[in-house]
Amino acid sequence: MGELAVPRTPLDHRRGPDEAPVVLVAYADFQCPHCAHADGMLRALLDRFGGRLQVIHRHFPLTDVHPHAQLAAEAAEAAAAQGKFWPMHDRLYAAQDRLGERDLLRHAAELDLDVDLFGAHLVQRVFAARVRADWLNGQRSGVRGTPTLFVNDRRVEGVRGRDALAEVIRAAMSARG
Amino acid sequence: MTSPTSPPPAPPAVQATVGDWGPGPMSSAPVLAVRSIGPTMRRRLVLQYLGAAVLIASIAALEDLVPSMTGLAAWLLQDPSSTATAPLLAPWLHVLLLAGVALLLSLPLAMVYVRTRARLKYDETLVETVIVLPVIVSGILLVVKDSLALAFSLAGIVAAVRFRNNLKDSRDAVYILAAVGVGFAVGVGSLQVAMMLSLVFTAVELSLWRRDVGSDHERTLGMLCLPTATPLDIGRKQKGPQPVVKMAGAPPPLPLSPTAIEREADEVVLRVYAADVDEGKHTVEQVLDEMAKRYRLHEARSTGHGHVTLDYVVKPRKRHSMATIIDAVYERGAPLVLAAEVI
Repeated sequence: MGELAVPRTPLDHRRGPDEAPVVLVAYADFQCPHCAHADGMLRALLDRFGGRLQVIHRHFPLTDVHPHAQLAAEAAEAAAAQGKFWPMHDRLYAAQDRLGERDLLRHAAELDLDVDLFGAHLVQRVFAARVRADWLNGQRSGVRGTPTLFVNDRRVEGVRGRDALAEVIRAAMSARG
Repeated sequence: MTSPTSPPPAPPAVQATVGDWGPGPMSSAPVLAVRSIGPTMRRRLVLQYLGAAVLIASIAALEDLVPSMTGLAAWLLQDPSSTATAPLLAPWLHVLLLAGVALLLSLPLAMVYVRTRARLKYDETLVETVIVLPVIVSGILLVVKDSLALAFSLAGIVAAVRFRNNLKDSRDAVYILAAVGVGFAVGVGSLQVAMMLSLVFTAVELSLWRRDVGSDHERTLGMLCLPTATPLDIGRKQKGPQPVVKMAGAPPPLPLSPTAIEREADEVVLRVYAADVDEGKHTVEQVLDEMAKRYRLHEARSTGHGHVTLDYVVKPRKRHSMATIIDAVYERGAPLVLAAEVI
């Protein structure tokens, strides 16, 4: 089982409390349909485990097969700069067939973001380095496809379905006591 | 639910329009990295199997005129004591047809091998072997046929010649066995068995490859999107420092910096991504003090949202590679160093 090369950082986007005994890091791509499916499961698990689980999103855009993934990841960061990472995150997964440039601006407008600022961030590639950093540390952790999940810094392998993942999380909780 | 990123200080106002990204030629439809064979390969496979089927049907039709294959063996061995009837079909033509069947049934095996093996595991000599082996095996069996004496002779010859060879991948042995199986079936005249063996093997191998069964343990929730050309050994544990791996699907490299970096031929640029400029510099310089002959900070760029990029021009000491320097940066920098790379 692989280890997470870079554990939780202050810049990670987090859902759930910092004091949660289980931290799940997901390397994902906004244009990956499996990631959208997995994200639905993760949200259900967050509800199920309440404050005992924290989910972290890291970018791993597979740019050769998902042409919009890189810009979508930068768009999520641009939304984060205005305090709306997770609303943009959810919107991007919900509208995976609408990740073109115009669509991203429309999503920003619908989330009441400052569209001029948002667009400027994208045009200037302000957050490309941020996305690159996630991609690099994912690669270092052995990530090669999406979604790849790590529970308490250990890679989740061979798990099929929400219940099986819940078992892994429960086991990690037990290990923490 | 929390997000650690706080609203930013007001950056310079820049008007953005959609046109700034250019015409946007890419489709908005999601693309799945599904392994599949292309139309050309599909067409070739169909043609090869059709050709084999036609040949087999022709041979079967001709064999209705010939009582048994024994005649062919007798003719080949020029055994005057044989009472078998000589085939109506010219023996050389019969042998040629069988060799054609063996060849047509072995070509799909070789094509599947070429398509499904990763570059690192690919053995080009095996391709030739898989193509030629069925022809040779069928030829040998045509000669031996029912003769126990010839079978023993063959065993003696095979024992005398050493064929020991280490295969790069244990799965390659399966291809060798499949090729022998096809050749054997052709050689004993079970052409339909040979056809089915080749067909089933091709279908099973392509199916296993398409589903990436071997790496199923990597999948989470049974699903995984992959870049189109994923080197299979990425992510496996390797001894020693990890090499700098370039992988398909990487975001495009960022421009070095607005100003060109002046550097000596033996210097490289180390880029470090950090969550804190002071901590990042402290960690990197501590490592470079130990492992670099000389270094200088070329540029530190901040996004204004907590994230900073540090570009160092580095000349590593002889006993340290850049890979070991990057290892040390990751090891000592967590959690404030997010990533590091040589650019």
